[in-house]
Amino acid sequence: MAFRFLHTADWQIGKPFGNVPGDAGAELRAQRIATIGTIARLAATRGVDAVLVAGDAFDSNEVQDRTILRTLDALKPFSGRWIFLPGNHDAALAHSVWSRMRQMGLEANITIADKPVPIEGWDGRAVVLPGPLSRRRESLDQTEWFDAAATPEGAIRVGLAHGSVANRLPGVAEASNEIPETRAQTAGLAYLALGDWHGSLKIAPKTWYSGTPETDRHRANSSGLVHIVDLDGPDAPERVETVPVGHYQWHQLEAQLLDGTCQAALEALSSIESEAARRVVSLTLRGGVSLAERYRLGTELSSWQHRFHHLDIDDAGLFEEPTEDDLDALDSSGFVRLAVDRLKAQAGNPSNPAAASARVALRMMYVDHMSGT
Amino acid sequence: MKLRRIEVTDFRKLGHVVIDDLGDGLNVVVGDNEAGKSTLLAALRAVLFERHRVGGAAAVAMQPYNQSVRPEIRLDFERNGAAWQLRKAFCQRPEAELAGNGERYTGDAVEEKLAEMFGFTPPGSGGSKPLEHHGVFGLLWVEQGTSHRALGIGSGRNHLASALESEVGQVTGGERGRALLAASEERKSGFWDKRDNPRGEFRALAAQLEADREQFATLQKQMAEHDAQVSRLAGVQNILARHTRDDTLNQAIQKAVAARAAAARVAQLEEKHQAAVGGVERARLRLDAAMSRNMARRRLAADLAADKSEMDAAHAARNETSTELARLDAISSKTAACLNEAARAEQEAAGRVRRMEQAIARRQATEAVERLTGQLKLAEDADAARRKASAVASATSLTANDIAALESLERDLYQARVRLEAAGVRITLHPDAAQAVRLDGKPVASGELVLSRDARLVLEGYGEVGIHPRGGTEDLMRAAETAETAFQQALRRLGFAELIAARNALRLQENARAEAANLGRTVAAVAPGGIEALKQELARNAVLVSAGEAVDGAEPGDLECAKRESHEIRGRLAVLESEARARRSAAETARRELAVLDERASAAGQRYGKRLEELSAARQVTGDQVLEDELAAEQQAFQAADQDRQAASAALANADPEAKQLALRQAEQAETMIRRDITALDIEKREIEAALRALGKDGLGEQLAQLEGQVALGETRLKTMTLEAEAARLLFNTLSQAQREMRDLWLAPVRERSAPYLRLIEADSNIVLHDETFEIDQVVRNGVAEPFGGLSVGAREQIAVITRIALADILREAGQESCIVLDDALVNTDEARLERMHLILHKAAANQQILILTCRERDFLQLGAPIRRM
Repeated sequence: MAFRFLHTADWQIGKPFGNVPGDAGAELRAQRIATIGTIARLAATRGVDAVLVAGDAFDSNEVQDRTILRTLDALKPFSGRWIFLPGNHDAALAHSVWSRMRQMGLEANITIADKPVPIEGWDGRAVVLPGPLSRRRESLDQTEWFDAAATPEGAIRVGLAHGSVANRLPGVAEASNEIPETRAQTAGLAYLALGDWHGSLKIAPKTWYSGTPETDRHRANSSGLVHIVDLDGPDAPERVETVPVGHYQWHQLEAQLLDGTCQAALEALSSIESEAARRVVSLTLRGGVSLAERYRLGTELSSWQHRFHHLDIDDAGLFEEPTEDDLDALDSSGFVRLAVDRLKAQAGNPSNPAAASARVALRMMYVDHMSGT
Repeated sequence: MKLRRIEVTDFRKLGHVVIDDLGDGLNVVVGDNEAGKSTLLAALRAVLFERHRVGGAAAVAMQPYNQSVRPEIRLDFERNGAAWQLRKAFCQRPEAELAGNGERYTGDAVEEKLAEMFGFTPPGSGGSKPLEHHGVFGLLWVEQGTSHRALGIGSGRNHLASALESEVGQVTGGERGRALLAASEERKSGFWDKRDNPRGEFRALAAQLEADREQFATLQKQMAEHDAQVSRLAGVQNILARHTRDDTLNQAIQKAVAARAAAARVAQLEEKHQAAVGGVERARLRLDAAMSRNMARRRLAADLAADKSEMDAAHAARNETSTELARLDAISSKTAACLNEAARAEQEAAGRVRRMEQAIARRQATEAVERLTGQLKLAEDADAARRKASAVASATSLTANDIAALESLERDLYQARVRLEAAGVRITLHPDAAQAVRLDGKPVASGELVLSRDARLVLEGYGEVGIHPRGGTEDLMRAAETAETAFQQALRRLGFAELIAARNALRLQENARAEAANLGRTVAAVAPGGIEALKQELARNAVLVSAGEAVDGAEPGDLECAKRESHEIRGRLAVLESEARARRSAAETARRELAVLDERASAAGQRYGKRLEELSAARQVTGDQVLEDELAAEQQAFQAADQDRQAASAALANADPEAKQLALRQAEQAETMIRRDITALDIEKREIEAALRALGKDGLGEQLAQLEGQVALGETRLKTMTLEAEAARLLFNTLSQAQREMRDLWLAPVRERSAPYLRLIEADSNIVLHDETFEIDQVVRNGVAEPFGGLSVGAREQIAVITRIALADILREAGQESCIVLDDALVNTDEARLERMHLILHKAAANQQILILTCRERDFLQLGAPIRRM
């Protein structure tokens, strides 16, 4: 009577990554579909009974037709049942990605769980109870019906829902699409497969978020995973295996440059040097450096930008602090020195509106100087 | 360096010149034009800056013209308190020697030492060039004619710069500073245009961001429309679902079926009612027919009676008219007989009148024939005579002029003969006996003889006598002959032998012409219309005479009487004719009226007959009583049918057909409306779905999210680039401001040094040098800046000399003391200014050796400086 399935969610196919320009952004978009292919192959390899997608398979209901078709193509390596739950990004509206998908013609192994009715099969071993979202924000709990849902005797009850679990998730204050933390218990579920939270997380007894299989933001911890879930019986404890399937690794680095050099930043970057081309990095720099170090940092960052898949630098908190050596390197006398002194004075005066410009001007002059002009 | 002694031998035009005892301050060397004072300056330059082995053009230039000698120059000078002797010989056996301060150099070492001492760059090969090789001397040694030009700092710039730097410290940024400034300007101009507006990538980025924002807003609007469509679709789907759930269409259909059954029942009652109405109508028609037949029979009988009385009246009228006609015909016959009698009488009277008129006409014609015959004879005779006279008149064409011409020619001849005769020799012959005299062989009668020409007169018995008339007779004789000839020719031409005959002929001709005219007038009087017309009139009258009846001797008085009688008879006839016409007309009228009345009486008879037949026939078919019975039966049948109709109408009213009809219409409309609503909703649903599918293809959501990211990225980039752009501008502005300030600082010593000198010629003025080239840029006078090149030549040379003195001061204070040499450097300066310039030179000479080379000794006598003459 055992039931094995793959739990995943939040694919958000069609997410554009508009803030990552050029090829890097295009590749991030393409990878989300490629990762679905990985999931399909994993499902086939592990011989699961079904793949449950707990909402937000698509980034929006208004993705391009080609995005839908490519996604459907990516499912093909697994010929078992795929059960898709509409989430808040792809809610089952009158016209939705799901209605479009149906119009395109669905394979028999694909079930769109857009109605709150039990999904049966698997020789009566299990019943999936879906709580689809029919609008982006449901004010009523869509899983409430699970409790009273009648299922064949001995069938394993698996819940499938999308939203935030009340009182459990940190930093989530949304009142909509809320799921009670006790739903698995009250509805007699062996496993409640959830979507919405992008990291893999057991949030309550028998209640799990699988997270997104392909990381899409810096803040998502434990993302890039899927769950292979084994349920040995209606009341047996769930056995969950997290399997990494994501391609890109997202890192959020923050370097405090406190010693006047850029060493801390370079060390932080070096720490993720391996497989640099798969890394999407956000680097926040704080502190102060000499002009010489700033110049060196610029050269190094330029190199890292080429090595990483994408490197986003926030240096708003980084201040140039010209040293005497910097200034002497520019000129020890003459009008250049006069200009440097003035810029330095402006840069050092936080109340001067031109302070930031003056800092950049000093850096520019140093770059010109170092470039041999 | 101070110059002490100069000795030049065989250098260009200078054979041997020594200038010695040169003092610390002012020294004036005077040389007339061509004396070689400028050559002296050239010699100074040569000994210091030319390599002693110099060859080529530079060497040739040192040689006196067309000579090959050994130019030699000796210079004693003092530097930093030490005395030095320099000697160089060029061209042949070149030689160089420098000694002083316990040192001695010869050959090439001399040049190296000099370059080191004075900080100039010796020329590599060939002659030296002041700007490149003479160091500060290029600046301080002014050649004749160049004093008003640019200073010509040249390689002296570095000396000057280091002198200034020793005073104000290092103030320039040097090459590196300039490069940084240039780089910053280039970067700034990458961001900002000349009007300080964004440009290039900076501008494009802002524009792109703006475009993205607009596009984003557009897409958001589209998305909102899309969402509205989705909502609408949901609404439509809900309504359709409700229709399905409530089975609205089927309910409407069933209601309609029931309503139709009720309506059918009402329709049956309606039919029955219609049938009853039809029965009533038919009974009414039958009744009407019976009544009509009855009425027709009564009308026929009445008509027959009317026809009878009409026929009788017609016959009575016809007989009355017939009687009247017979009376009118009798009167008419009587009137016709009277008329015939009157007509015959009228014809007789007219015949009498005509005969009388014919007789009178014939008598008149006979008289006319007699008269016209006489006239014709007279006219024809006169015309024949006229034609004869005309023939005579036209036989000759002689005119009075012709006769006058002949008479003139005759007079000329006569005169010629008289003149000849008067000039001729008159000889009177009185022969003896029968002694004969012959002239020109012809015998001459005795008597007087006139000879007009040479002639030989033979006197018988005597012999011959030659006669020669006096001169002129020949001409006269020729004239007489000519006149004779002309006269005769004229006569012959007119066809006469003599003038008399011609005169007669003319008279005859004129007479004939007059007679012809007279006869013509006679013809015209007798036959005014011409002879032919006369003949015709005669013929016409002859015809009249021969025509008509025989003359009965009637008189005109009888004719008038006959005419009057005829007229009266004709009047009576006309009256009778009028009367007869009236009678005939009356009879005709009565006859026509009779015919009409005959016709009318006949028609009335026929009508009456027919009507009588018709009534008889009808009565044979249906008797009058039968018709009366039939009418009564039809009246009863009609009353029965009307009772049936009233019963059917009551039954129909009881069934309420309007309510049944309204119910049916309502049910059918409801069914139609629901069906239409479902169809319309279905179409709308499909349309919305199609529209949404179309929108979905483009991935509006993806586009929107993509653009949102782009806008965020663009904003970040623009912020960064704006900071960079502002920084670039700030950097450039700061650098250029610093450079400007430093430049002012840098040139301050020049301003300070030149000020005391300038004050002597121009209060409140200032010299501005270019901070790079040290050339004079501007002169500021009373706060007004003027470009150096714009000043007068005199002012330029004064300013230039002052500047050189000031620069020499700076150089000296920096340990690079040097003599100033001015070769006629103030030739364009007026006397007043020259005095001032002398003061300046004096002031400068307090610290500075100045060597003045001039050809104008007078100008410098008052200078108070030792003067040496070349």
